[in-house]
Amino acid sequence: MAKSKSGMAMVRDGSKKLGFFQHFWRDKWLLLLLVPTLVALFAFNYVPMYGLAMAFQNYKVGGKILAFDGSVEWVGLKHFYDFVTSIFFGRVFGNTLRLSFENILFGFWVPIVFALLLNEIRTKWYKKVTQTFVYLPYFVSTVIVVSILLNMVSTEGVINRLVQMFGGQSIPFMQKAEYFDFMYIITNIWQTFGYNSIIYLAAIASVDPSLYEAATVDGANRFHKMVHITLPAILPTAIILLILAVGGVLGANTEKILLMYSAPIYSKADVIGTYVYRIGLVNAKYSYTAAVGLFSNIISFVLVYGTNMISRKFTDYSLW
Amino acid sequence: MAKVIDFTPKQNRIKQGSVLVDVIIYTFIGIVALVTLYPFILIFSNSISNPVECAANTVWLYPKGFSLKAYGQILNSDSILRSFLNSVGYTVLITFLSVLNAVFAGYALSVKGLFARKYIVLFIMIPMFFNAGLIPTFIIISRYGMFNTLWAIILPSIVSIWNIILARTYISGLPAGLKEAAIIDGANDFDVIFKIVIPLSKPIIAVLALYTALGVWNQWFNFLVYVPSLEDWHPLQMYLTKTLIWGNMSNVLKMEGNIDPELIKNKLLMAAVGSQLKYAVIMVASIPVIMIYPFVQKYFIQGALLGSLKE
Repeated sequence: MAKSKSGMAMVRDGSKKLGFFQHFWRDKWLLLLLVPTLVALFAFNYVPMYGLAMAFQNYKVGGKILAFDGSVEWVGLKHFYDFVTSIFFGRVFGNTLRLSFENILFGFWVPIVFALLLNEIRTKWYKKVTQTFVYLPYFVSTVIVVSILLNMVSTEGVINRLVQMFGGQSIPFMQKAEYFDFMYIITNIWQTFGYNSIIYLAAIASVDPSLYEAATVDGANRFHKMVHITLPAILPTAIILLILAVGGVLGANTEKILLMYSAPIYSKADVIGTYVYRIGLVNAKYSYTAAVGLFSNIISFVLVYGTNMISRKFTDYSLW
Repeated sequence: MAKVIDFTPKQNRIKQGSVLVDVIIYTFIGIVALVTLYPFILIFSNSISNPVECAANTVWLYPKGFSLKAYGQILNSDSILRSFLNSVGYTVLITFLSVLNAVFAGYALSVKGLFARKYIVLFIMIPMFFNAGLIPTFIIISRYGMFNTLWAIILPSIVSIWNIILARTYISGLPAGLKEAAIIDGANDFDVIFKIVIPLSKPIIAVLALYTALGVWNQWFNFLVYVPSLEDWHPLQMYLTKTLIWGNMSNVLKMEGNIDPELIKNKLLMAAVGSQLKYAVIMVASIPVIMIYPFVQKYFIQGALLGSLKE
């Protein structure tokens, strides 16, 4: 084995017994490569975790975060209690869960159906062109998606012109809570269904062609093959994605909702993320919203962890 | 020439009666593709139509008339150009730093027997599953004195846990022999990274760079939270948010710079071009992505599949 000179790498052998400092010194250059990552994670991820202490106190701007010398006003679980007993608890959790489940219910199967049908297209150029079109919205920013939406549903926009053509009155869609869910879901589907179909198309492509040939010989038609060969082939992928989607139900798209909503529709559109932003940053109620964020992150963690365990147990796939 | 017998299986479509099914599927997929594309067509057609038609909301599919006046005004607008260039700058800088860091960290973590590797991996993975949340992060970054400085944008973006994991997985899969041979020939870790790992990792680097670049190009929320006062340094997406979405009186998209003399004479036309600006601005903001995207589509497809793979 090459003898380690300063600055020279080695064919490292994990089984070799090395003292703590010897081991550290041997790997100093590799550890140096990790320094930016470790420092940045420490500063921007771990220190804020310590900052969570402010959820249990009345934090004063510029005051100490963790101290027991009387300068910090500890309040225990008061902020959590205030949140859970306020009307906002039911509202923001309800909205978050409702929007997420609607998204799964109406959006989950769209890429599957699209992939199954696209797979039936044999003309190469046609397949390629249509794929290019449907993937495109995924690459457009949320800001542009919402700008286009606002434009289309504005009182003079195309949608309202259509409404008027059929003799209806122009509707201020963005001001009406009852249309919010539809607009949120339809833009989500528009943006992601094409891109999400990629994973299913890959699963379909991995099916052994001899299965189809055998089925043809046995007299199966195209529909039979789709239902009995293609669909079972993509089922595991679909189940994993579904499980993971359930794990992420508390992660509604805060940025998009912030762009879409306005005071008249807060009751239906305010989710955890937008509530924390509005009350925390805009109204500067730091401690209270730190508590709200912590509360939802703990539930979120349990959900992600739990669904991942289920996925790992019943399928070969998991996030980690 | 010898006759070649074609053994490729032929689908006997007529016998299966599937011509009709084909027609239905082709048509359906075509309609879905066009409906998906429609919002872009609408914006594009409006942006190049005669401004008067655009202002009267009569353009709903194909352009009516032709005019590039709105685009001309955008090229004259310092604030749009400034935010566009800001976005280009952030995208290039952050993508470069983040991918380089991912390759460095990914390489180090791929080395078997690395000092405290298990603990380092754990340290890197934990923030993926639990984060402190917006408010404590905001407070801590403010206490660092980074509020309303670009450090608050750039420094946290350098580390992408996801990029590090993907880089590590890829680098671990590279043939070990090459690296060992180089090391026996006297190469150090940096030689290995720049002469072996990076050249062999071009595919993953392309995927990571494109995803990172897209993400940075589309950012706006972190600018709203961390640098609300640095208006001159806001990216294009933030500019769009302020003008198109929160377009109140002070922030509405307006004509700036050298206004075409023809428009100054004709106030009606000027108002029309003013209302056409939003379409042109949306186009200008999407064009870089739309132009690059067909050429890099394959990397994004690879990326979508990578993301679904078990780590």
